[in-house]
This record gives sequence, structure tokens and C-alpha cells, in this order.
Amino acid sequence: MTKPGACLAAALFCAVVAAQEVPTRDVIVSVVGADGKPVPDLRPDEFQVFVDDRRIPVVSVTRSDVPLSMAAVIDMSGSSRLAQSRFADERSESVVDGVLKDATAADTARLARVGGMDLFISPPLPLRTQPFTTRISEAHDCPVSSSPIWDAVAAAVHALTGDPHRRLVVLATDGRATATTLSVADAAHYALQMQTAVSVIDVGVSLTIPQWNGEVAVIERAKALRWLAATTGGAYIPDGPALRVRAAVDSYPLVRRAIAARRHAYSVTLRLPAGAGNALSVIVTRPETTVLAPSLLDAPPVELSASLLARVGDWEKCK
Amino acid sequence: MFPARFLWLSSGCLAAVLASPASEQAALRPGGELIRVHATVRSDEGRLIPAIGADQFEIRVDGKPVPVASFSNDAQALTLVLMVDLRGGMRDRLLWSRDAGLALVDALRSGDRLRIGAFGRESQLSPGFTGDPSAVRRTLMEELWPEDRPTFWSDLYAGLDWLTEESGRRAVVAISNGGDVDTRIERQLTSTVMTDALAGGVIIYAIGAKDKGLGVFRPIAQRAGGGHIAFSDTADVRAVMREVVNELRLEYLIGFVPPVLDGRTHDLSVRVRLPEATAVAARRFTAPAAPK
Repeated sequence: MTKPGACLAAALFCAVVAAQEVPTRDVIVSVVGADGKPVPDLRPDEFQVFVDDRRIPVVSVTRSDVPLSMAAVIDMSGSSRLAQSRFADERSESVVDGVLKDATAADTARLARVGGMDLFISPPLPLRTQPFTTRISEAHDCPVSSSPIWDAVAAAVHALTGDPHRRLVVLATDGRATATTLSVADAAHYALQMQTAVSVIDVGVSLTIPQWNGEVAVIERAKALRWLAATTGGAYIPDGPALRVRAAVDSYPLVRRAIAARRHAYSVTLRLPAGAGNALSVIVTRPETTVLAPSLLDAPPVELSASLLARVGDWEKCK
Repeated sequence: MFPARFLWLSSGCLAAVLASPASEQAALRPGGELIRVHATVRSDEGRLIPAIGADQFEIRVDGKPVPVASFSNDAQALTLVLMVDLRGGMRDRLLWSRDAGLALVDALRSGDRLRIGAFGRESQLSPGFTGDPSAVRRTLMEELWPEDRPTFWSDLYAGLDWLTEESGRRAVVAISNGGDVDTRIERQLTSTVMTDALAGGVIIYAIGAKDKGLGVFRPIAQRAGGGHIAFSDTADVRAVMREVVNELRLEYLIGFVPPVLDGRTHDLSVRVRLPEATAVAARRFTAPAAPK
């Protein structure tokens, strides 16, 4: 750091040096309009960025359409599958349709599933429907005794780290996590660490259950899903009616929106003064817009245990 | 008819037992098989009685006394499966069950390990056994989802299965109002659960709310030499769970040599020669067949 006293003699020079020494940071920010589509024409002055409630200068804003490295993580566990697995399969295929619909040749896409303790993640698949649907149908007889959702998200993020483009996990789940070794916070922080957004298609419903003593148990699984998406800069898209009417709702337009938001995101360069803090908040002043941005500049470090990684394997047909 | 909970010690394992003087009689029986039975002793007021000597116990097989061949009342580390009932009948006790589970976790000591399971569609709530209380608490706080799937015995069986390869004093502690035995399959499953628990030396301990009761779960836990408790809403749940854990920990492990090796089930009686005290233990056991 330049000493203030030394700057008295050459104030202008020191000001320039000081400005150069302040670190900058790029943050990926998606902005969608009321129609759910990316807003393409925002100006830098329409962005307001706060770190720990302190306004931070925006150095530049650029927008470019970039290829994506994606993983569709589909919950095929007992609670998500319900009795009618046909609908669950249709929903899974619908998510895949959404991933593939606007895929460019440069994109990569993997398929991962939640259900049982093994974490199956495919290698990047050809961007056609059939390789994905074949794998979905292969999951028919997979164990449904647990839903380690957060472990699966972290494993998918881990798999994407070797992939070349802007990274996105699309998670379709009811949020009823069981048998997880990681908490939702661990999964979110790991995704942040690896600069991967997690967009969530929430296919579950929340419940309130009166208790014997007059209390009410609130089965609020959506809160964790919403938080996961918000923390990592992904989209949270409720698709609860799918479960309520026990029929498949076409998720694919929702998935397309989540993917488009990530692909057409802005790169916002910030100038971070010393001790700027960590809690990030991005506001866009244009009306009727929704901002998707990470909620932390730096996530607490999370390391995936060897035992978790040992559970990860290529997609296999369940026996 | 349920055989007693016992733990096989093959002839090769007798060396460990021989370390205690009480096991000498077992050694005098070449090719014999030692059977160990878990027992707790309660006063008439229901208090657990610790530190009773081997000479205070009396074992009878089919009404005839047999000598105590091995004896231990050492506190052992617990390896527990906590099963939480998330089915319809316990829906209005979801928070109660969670709090009871948390109280059980608080009652555990360093060295104890726990895994959480559920009666429901997804019976596996913990990824494995852990001695980390914070991991178990997180599971109880975040991963109890009410279920409608009416399974009980198969999930209980899953809980037993997780303990197969584990060490320490092993028990499935189930917070529930009991399962049904209406169908043939349910009756078969009940029998399988009992047989495997007894054969594997795993305790089944039933915990319930007083107003709901324990149904058929209570006699099954009792027959296996396990325990049960149904407590009222006004009870101090933490104190209750401390007592449960103490009970699991304060067991006596008594070994005896079966008088006959016929592969059949025999009546077993474990008594304690103390006034106003009762031993709770398995009431039947299956003797090994004689070597051919």
C-alpha cells in the first residue's frame, strides 16, 4: 500500500497508483425481465453493487453470450418419484429437453441423479435427447431409500470443474434431502468456490402439520432450495403443481429460462476497497427485473471428503 | 415363539472368555458353544441397579439351573440406530419425535456412535454411523420428512441390518407407535426381524408417547430382552432419554453353556438373587446344533 504521507508531494500520481492497487473482482450477474427472459441491454450505471451494505464502485459491465458447461441433477429418489414413476420419468425428460433445446455445439452437458447413496454422474453426453433418456430409463430400478441431494450437487459441481465453460448445475428435486454428508450450506459454498451457479427446479410442495400440543410443524423444504439458488447466483423456479396434481408439468420452458439467464449473464467488474466485506448484493435499477448473483464474494472453503468422492461414479444401470 | 437374543461365540472365540474365572466351566465342555444373554436389573421402583456380581444371577434353561460361564458389566460404547417414525399415525408427533431424538443424542458419550433411520419411503436418513453429534443433530433438524408409506417391519429390519458389521453394544432404538401385524407378510416380517435381532445380539428398544402407546412393538421388544418406554407429555424428555441410554449401557452380559446342543428353541430364565429387584432378559434362546 502507498503511504499517505508520501503522496503529499505527488498527489495525482499517488491517486493513480492507489486506484491501481485496489483489487478488482468479476462477478457473474444474470438479469431477467418479467417474462423470465434475459435483459440484454443494461447499462453499467443501472447496476448498483453493495458489499456488506457498502456501495462498491462498478468498474465495467460486459455482456457476452458464452458456452455453458452444465450438469442436470435429477432427483429420482423415493419421495420425488411418488407412486407414478412414469410421471417422474416424463419430468426428468422434460428437464433434459430444457437443457438441450438451446444448447450450442460448444456446450457440454452431463446427467446426474439423486437416489441411493451412490452418486452417478455421466461424462459429457452428446447433445441429443436419446443418450439422456436412455440413462433416465436405466434409473428405473435404482435404490430409492435416500436422497443425498446436497452431496449430489457438490459432486456435480466437482465434475464440472474440469469442463471449460461458464458452469451451471440444474437441479430438479423436491428438496427432501436425506442421508447427506454435506449440508445445503456446504454444497452452496462449494459451488460458489468453484464459480458454479445452481438453478433449482423445485418439484415439491411444502406442508404444515398440526402437532399434538397445538404447535404446527412446517415442512418447509423450499427454503433450502431457494437459498441454494440465491447463494450461488442460480434461479429458483417452483414447479410445485407437478407434485400436487400428481402429473408431469412441462418443466422445460422453466429450465430454458434458467439456462438462458446464465448464458447471457453480465460480467460485472468491481473495485473492492480494503476490508470491503463479503456479503454481496447486486441491484439493477431498471424496473421489473430480477437479479441472479452470488450472495458472497468468497465462500468459506469446503473440501469434498475422499469418502464422498469415492461414492461418485459414471452413470450405471442399477441392478 | 421367539428365540432369545444371544451372541454366538464359536469354540475359537472362547479364549477371550477364558480370561474371566467364571468362564472355566465353559472351557470344561469341549466343543461347547457359549451363549451370552444381555440383562438389565431394575428395582421395584423401576430404578436400574448397577454393580451386581455374577454370583447374584441365576440362569435356568427349561427350568433347570445352569452355571454362569462368563460375566461382564463393563460399560461399553454404544452403537445405535435411531429409527424415527414418520408415518401417518405419528404425524402429529413429528416435533416430539425430533426432540426425543435430539435428547437421545445429547445423552450419548464420546465413543458412542449413531445412525438415523426412518419408518417411511426413504428409510436411510444418515449416510452411516457417526460419533459426531453435530452431524446427527443436523439430520434430525433438517431431514425428517413425513411419509405415508405404511411400512414398519421392513424398515426396522433395515435398521438391524446396518448393525450387522458393527461393534460395541448394539441397539435399534425406535421412536414409534408400533407397526401392524394384520397381514401375513407383516407377521412374517415381524418374525424375521425378531429372529435376526436375537441371532445377531442386537437390542430393540421401543420408545413411544403414552397416549399413542407402542402397540405390538412393546411385547416384541420385551420378548427380545430389549426395553420399552412410553412417556407422557409432561415428562422431561431429556431425563427419559438419559435413562434409556443408561439402560442400554448398564446391561450385564452373562454367558452360559447350553445343556444340550439340539438346534432347538428353549425357555430361558434370568433371575437376580436380590430382594425387590427384577432381571429383564431374553426369555428364549435357540441352542446350536451339535457338530456332526
